Amino acid sequence: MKHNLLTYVMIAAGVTSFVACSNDDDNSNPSVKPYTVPTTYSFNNASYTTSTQRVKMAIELDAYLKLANAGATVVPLDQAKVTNMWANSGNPFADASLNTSGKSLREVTSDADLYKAYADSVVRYNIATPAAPGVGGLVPRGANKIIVGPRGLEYGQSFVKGIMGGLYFKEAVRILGSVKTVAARDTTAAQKLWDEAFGYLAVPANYDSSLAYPNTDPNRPLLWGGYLAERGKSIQAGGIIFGAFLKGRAAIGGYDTKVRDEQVDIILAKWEQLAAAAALNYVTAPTASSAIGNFGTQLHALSEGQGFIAALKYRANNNKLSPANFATLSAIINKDFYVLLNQPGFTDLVTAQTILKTAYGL
Amino acid sequence: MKKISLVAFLVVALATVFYACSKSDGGDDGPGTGQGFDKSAMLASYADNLIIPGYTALQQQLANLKTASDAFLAAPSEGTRATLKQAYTAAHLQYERVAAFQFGPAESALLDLFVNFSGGLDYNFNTSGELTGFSVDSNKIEQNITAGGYTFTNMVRSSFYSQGFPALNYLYFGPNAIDKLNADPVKRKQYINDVLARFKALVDKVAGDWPAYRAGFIANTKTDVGSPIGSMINQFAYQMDLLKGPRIGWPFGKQSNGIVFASKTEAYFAGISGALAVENITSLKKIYTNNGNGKGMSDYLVALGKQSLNTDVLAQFDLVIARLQAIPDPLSASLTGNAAAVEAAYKEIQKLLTLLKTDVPSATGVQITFMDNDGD
Repeated sequence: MKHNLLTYVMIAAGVTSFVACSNDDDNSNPSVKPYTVPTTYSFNNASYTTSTQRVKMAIELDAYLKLANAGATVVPLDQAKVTNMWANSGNPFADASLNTSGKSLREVTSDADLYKAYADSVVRYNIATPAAPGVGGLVPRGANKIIVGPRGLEYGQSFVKGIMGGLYFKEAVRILGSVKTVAARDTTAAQKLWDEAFGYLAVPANYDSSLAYPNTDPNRPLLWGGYLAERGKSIQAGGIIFGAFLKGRAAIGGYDTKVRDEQVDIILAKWEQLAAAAALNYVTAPTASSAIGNFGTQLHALSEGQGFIAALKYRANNNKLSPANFATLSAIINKDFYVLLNQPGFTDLVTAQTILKTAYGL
Repeated sequence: MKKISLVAFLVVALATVFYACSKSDGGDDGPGTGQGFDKSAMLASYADNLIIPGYTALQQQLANLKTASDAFLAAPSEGTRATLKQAYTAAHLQYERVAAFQFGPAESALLDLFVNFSGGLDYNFNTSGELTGFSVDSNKIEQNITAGGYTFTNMVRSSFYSQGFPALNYLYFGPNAIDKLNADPVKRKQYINDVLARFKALVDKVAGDWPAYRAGFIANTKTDVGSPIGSMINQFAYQMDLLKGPRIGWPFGKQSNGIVFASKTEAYFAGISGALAVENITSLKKIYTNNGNGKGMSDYLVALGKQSLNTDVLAQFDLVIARLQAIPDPLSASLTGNAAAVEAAYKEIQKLLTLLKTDVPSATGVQITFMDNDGD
């Protein structure tokens, strides 16, 4: 008797879903079914190789540019190598799977010419000239050095933080935005997009925001993933973004577009806030007495800040940061750094701090 | 049967969803809050017993220094300079007692940079040239004196190294200081007086700002970045880093494969670097315990259940103080003449640094923010 009842229910359900699937109008999506949110990103068909490859490419290019920072004397860099790593031509990567990936950093980066020019400028100013206001060259930083332009911008930082915004964050915004337009029944398409966006966060599938990953750990979070802990602890960025990626991915499988779309909003809001928190840190740190007088420390921080402020250009909407406030931030961080650092009371940097704190509740 | 298992499955699934959600923002929490300990009373006690009186005392010592300086400048001689040196030493020792209060009003005024620049923690003695550590930019000072029209507000190293204690130390006690004063009295005396006036204005500003700042200071009992407790614990670590680096370790050659930089000791020309280091660390212990009045950071640690850590910290403070006291002044001479004593002190400083920069911040949930910890 019980079996029979269940059978009827199942048949009825099957009929319903058959009817639903054969219907093409907007109310045609299947109803939500129960789904489980795992604690790791271990979904059966999860695949985000392309994203991971682009992260690895940036890591290799960044590491190459940073070779020049070692020691006190000039370490020559090869411009052709930089160009090849940017475009993935001529087998430039140590990881051979990147060379044959058919993917490149260049192809998906917004404002690509600008960021490429930053990378090229590292090579250009990698010369045995001490930097000074108006003169690009080397600035000591501890026992090593940084390479800056005539206005104090450390191009290696504006490059890598710049593409964190112009490539990975921008792509996540674009992709997750498009997930919202995918019909509930089209789970495979939505999952594929979702995975691609998740890959740009660059955390391991078993990410744990409570862990401190040593930088020797091959499984460690990279780029944005690293910043979840580095600048996002106080806003719980790691737990919230990773949790939302898990929940939204599971929701897709359950046809639960409402929860899916909520997770998109959570991820993008928190990711944007993370960029703002990092920017706030880097426009604040150079004004501390422990940093003042050390251009190596100050210019490095401001250059990171410049990159994170640039990332806000690619934000999903203006809900938090108004276009006018973004324009003010950009104008400040694109001034001559030596001027910013010699203002009594750091008026401009304090203005930037205030905008970031107010807009993002930091 | 199937129905039951279906229900069971749903329950498990829902429970999993619930569990996953509640877990998702975990991992970012700080440690316990030390309930029952009155953090506000601790902060009020710091403000009223150590910080505000410390700056008042510094104002007084600067007034005494001005009097002794006037007498010296009126008649530069070894005799007037001996009196001056007592006043200078008293002022510099008093500065060590407030050095660790470099937050709030002192940070707004950038007091430490403009009156006792340490060179920071990111400049390498071996590779970054002359202007590192507790140096003096004598070229800049002489240039300023000759050319006039100088400004003290530029936020670059040459500016920090040509005012405050570094400049006074050089102008009072540097090579041929008395002869130079007699040779070019007007401009040189003017410069000294301008340095003293600038010094006084900065300290007056900090001392004057504290009473109004106090209310917010004692009301904020959080431990996040920029909070009073967070700032104080950062300063414990920062002062230890200065001790390990510019005050003792780097002049001793710890950054330069043993090559000693004797002239980069604090107040080198006055020859009181050892006494200043002892005063600095003794004051730091006094701040840590709030002079043992039961309302100190040490008591807060105990309230957090970190009794044994606190015991270790106190014992290590005493060990560092004893080892530093065993180094005869001038420290600049002891770096080579008494290297074993310096090495012994350095070893203990490193241990105290670890306790104050790693264990205490972790026990109190404070993030150390003065270092660029990116690794990039």
